[in-house]
Amino acid sequence: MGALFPSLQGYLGARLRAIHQSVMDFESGVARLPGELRDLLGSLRQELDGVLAQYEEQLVEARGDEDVLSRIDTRYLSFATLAAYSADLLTMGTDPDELPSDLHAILVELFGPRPDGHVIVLRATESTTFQTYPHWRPEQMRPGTDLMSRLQGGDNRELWLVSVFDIPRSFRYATLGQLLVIGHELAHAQDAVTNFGYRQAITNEMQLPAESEADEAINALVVCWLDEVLADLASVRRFGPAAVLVFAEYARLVQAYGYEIPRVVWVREFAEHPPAEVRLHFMFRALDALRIGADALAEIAPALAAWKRLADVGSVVPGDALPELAAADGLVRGVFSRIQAQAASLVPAHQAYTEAGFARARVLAEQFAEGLAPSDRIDDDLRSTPVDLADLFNAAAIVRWSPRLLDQLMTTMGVMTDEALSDEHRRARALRQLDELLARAIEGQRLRRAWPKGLDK
Amino acid sequence: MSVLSANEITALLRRGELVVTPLLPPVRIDAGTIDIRLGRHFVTFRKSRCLGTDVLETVREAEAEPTRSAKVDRLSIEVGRTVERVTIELGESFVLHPGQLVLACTLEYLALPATVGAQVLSRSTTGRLGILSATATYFHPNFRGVPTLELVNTSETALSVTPGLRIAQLLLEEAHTNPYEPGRYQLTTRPQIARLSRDAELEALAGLRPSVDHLA
Repeated sequence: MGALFPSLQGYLGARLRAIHQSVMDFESGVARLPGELRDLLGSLRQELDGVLAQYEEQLVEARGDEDVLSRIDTRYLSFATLAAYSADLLTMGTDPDELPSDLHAILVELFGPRPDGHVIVLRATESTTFQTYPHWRPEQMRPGTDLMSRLQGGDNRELWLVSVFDIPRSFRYATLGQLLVIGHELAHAQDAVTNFGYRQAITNEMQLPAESEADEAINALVVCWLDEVLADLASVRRFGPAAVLVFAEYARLVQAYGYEIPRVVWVREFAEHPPAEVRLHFMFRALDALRIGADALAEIAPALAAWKRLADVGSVVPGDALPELAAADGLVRGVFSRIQAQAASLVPAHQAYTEAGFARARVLAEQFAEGLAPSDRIDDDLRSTPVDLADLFNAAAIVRWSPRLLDQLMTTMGVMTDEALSDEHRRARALRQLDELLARAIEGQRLRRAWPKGLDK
Repeated sequence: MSVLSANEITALLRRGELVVTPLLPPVRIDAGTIDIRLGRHFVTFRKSRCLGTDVLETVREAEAEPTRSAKVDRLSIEVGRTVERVTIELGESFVLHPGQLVLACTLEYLALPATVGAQVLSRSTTGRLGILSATATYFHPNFRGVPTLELVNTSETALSVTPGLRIAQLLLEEAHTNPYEPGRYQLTTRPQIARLSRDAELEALAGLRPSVDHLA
């Protein structure tokens, strides 16, 4: 049988070389890459090198046979497409200069047990929303085609997971907002390591109906919502009140951009996340489970109460929502305790936030308001202990949502006496300064933790 | 003004009135001084991107902006165009070439009490290698922030430095001051580039400069 189309041999060779060159250009243009990403790019280059050499050998062996050439084209075209996707994924927006400075190290540290070869990649994107998804590193691209398996010397189906975090570029300096990545998105990435194994167990137990089109829509919603609610609960368990407040503000921001809470269930992009009201409802239940007393929360109680009122409207999603949303909401509420238990497995007890942590955070909040960037505590012998990351986020959240402390920070900055500034300007400057102080405190805390041991003596 | 004793410095640290955070061991406190370390952030000058900095011309160009805030922005942008920011990690090196000036910062965030001022002094150890580490040496009482260090390599060979290196000493002195007033570089968290916008007299001086046409 003759080939239908002329051979792509020139095009494919050029494309593979171009992808190789684009990776090299990126690597040589960035002064410092996180080790994990550098290794991954090196792996991709080697992969391209090896495949390109094999491809050229195959072309020679084909001796101009159009049928053989056509089959070679097919195999290498799929490889080139995957390689190009990987190259784009790993080079676009991953320059450390475009990303929050300490975020990668924090995610690596908090991730917990990771499978061999697991890699965390952060990307700065133009989007206004965060996204986390698994990707398979180059070794995984080849299974599925005979040629690729043969090139590799066997059928290697071992899983090599890359957790990709897409972060809106504008969040580079929004340090308090980075809690969304560390709390919620990290849980998604952890979840992916188990291939979302818990999801099947819960949906089996729910015995979802799937007989009509409407039921299928409900089932699809439930599956998506389980992951999102789990990530929200893990975030609250790890970061306490700060997680709730930061999420609430972000949800408001996203809505302002027109990314409405889902009203249209058949558009998958919009249906992946439950309505903000539903998410807040679950987050408040998770916050209650932390048993942080009302007295401790007094400083931020008005802010929490405002969002809680939204979450407490009715017992289901907003009244104008479609019936599918209400049905999915009811089903997911029914398995809250199961999701909560799964969140506890992602965030073990020693990482869960406590009332004692919040008490420490209140002290740190006073220090932020005085213009400090607290990163450690010292004892009478001047020995220093790093403060806790979750405490720092909560301290900043307390200042952010406490009118008293925000006023104090503005006084410290001197903006209260600047008559050229409106109240909104003053507030904006204070919040920007708060983000800078928080970033600085996190940096100091990380430096303290990384500092060589045994130098106290 | 009198220099504080080691005991007084220790007492201020314990009471949280003097803040040096993080306070990394070993902590070196002598009469009047506490050692401070080199931070992770640097500002270098893009020699290949500009012919040089003409302060008055920069100010005069900014004058063309319609509002005060736009003028301030323009000055920051023009000065910022001449520099590049570099961040390195603990254990990494930053190479300082002969004659090179870079802006760096301390690893520690500082807060001074209302009654204590501070000078940043070069350490003799690094000084003998050829590194001068400070020119704007005085920090007022109530200062809060990360001091910017102007590092110059005065030797004839390249020198590499690393975050955590004890680079300078903070000389603490008793001071009498007015009620709290924020300074130009308050609450800083990174090395600060020059803020020409705060120098009001530069606008007046720029106005005295002959126009380019006249010079031609």
